[in-house]
Amino acid sequence: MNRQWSLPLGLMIAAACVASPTWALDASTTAPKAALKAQATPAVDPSALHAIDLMAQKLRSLKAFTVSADVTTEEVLDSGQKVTYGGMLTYKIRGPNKFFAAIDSDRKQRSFYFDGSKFTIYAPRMHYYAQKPMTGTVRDLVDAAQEKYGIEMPLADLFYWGTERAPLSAIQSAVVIGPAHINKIECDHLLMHQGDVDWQVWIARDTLLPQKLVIANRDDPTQPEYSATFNWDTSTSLADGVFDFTPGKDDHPIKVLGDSAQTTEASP
Amino acid sequence: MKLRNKLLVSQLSCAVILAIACLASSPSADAARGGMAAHGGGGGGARAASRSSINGGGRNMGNNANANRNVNANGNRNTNVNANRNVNVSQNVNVNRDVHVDVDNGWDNGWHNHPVATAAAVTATVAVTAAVVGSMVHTIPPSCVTVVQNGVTYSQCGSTWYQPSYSGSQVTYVVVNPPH
Repeated sequence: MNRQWSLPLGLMIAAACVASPTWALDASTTAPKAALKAQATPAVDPSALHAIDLMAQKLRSLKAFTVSADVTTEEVLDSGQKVTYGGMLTYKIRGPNKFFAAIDSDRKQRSFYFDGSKFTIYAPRMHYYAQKPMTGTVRDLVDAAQEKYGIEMPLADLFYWGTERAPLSAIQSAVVIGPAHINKIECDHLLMHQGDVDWQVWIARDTLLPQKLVIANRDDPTQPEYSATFNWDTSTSLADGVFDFTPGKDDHPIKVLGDSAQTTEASP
Repeated sequence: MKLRNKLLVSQLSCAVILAIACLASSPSADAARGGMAAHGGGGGGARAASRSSINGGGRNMGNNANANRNVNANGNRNTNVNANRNVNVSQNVNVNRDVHVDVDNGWDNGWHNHPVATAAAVTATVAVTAAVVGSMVHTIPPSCVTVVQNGVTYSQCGSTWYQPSYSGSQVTYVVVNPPH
């Protein structure tokens, strides 16, 4: 009798044992379902797209400008914690073929010069520079830096909006959030979804230039963000010397490994 | 009766063993649910980073997902850099000062490492071990000096000579034979 009774008891425990992981599996499968629901993006608001289009046209109409940006980037640790790094980014651009970028982050300093005939990469702290012959427009330079040398210019969208590289049709959802102020400048706040990123932009109502941009990378569940707040100067003229790198006595030439298959961000 | 008791005991113990097995298995079920097993719990590794543009690049953004960085700052500087998937670049540098004058120190790796083609583990210990010629590192000791010979820029670190070059926007150093 005891023997007969104890066997089902053992089976019951065993059954309970099996049931536990099954339940756990159920719990884990509900999460992706919820995520899928969240990905059902709202429709594209034509007025939001129109605002992006106006900003893009404005950017493409600029003949010369200096824009500096306060930037933060995020890194996700294996623990899921996010670390935020700060940095400053400056672009000085004079169309059609003069380009200067200075990147000054918590971890790295780089300058890039393009005077229409050569491209210079410079590390001010290490005094290393490398030069490559290059022609074309500013846009060509941004393309070539990435495709040939594996340098992704941060905020490349400033050069791509209004071109076929950044078609409005790529925006999968567009919403007008409402009015906002960035550094006391009256802006329209917009939210977009495109590819693997959600992005928000604050466009100044008077100049139509972006005052702030936040890009959330949805590749990771913690959605690490890149954030840039802009300061525009579209009136100060830029002399040729801005775009021409002249090595000092402490500066030394080094090679650049070309035709890189991989990409590093120039960051921030 | 005695036999019956014995049987009962054995059955009970069987059930206890099952119960223990059950208890033992539940933490792993929890771990799977919480996704902890996938990440190995903490440490200084980075699994992802933000993206600096919407329309630029993007295609290769997965590159840096596995960049690991462990930095232990103490009296003697120990920087362990595990750069990307199958590359381990390790540097144990023992220098009794913390001055970085003309090098991008290990912090440079905080921003998106460039993958290094050579899978090599290099231990460059100043003035003790010579690094393997042809191996590549992202950082060199702060005591290195820049030497230009025949128009080529080198970094000399004791008996080890490096040739710096840009790989993307990252400066990497390849160990070379001393120039003559």
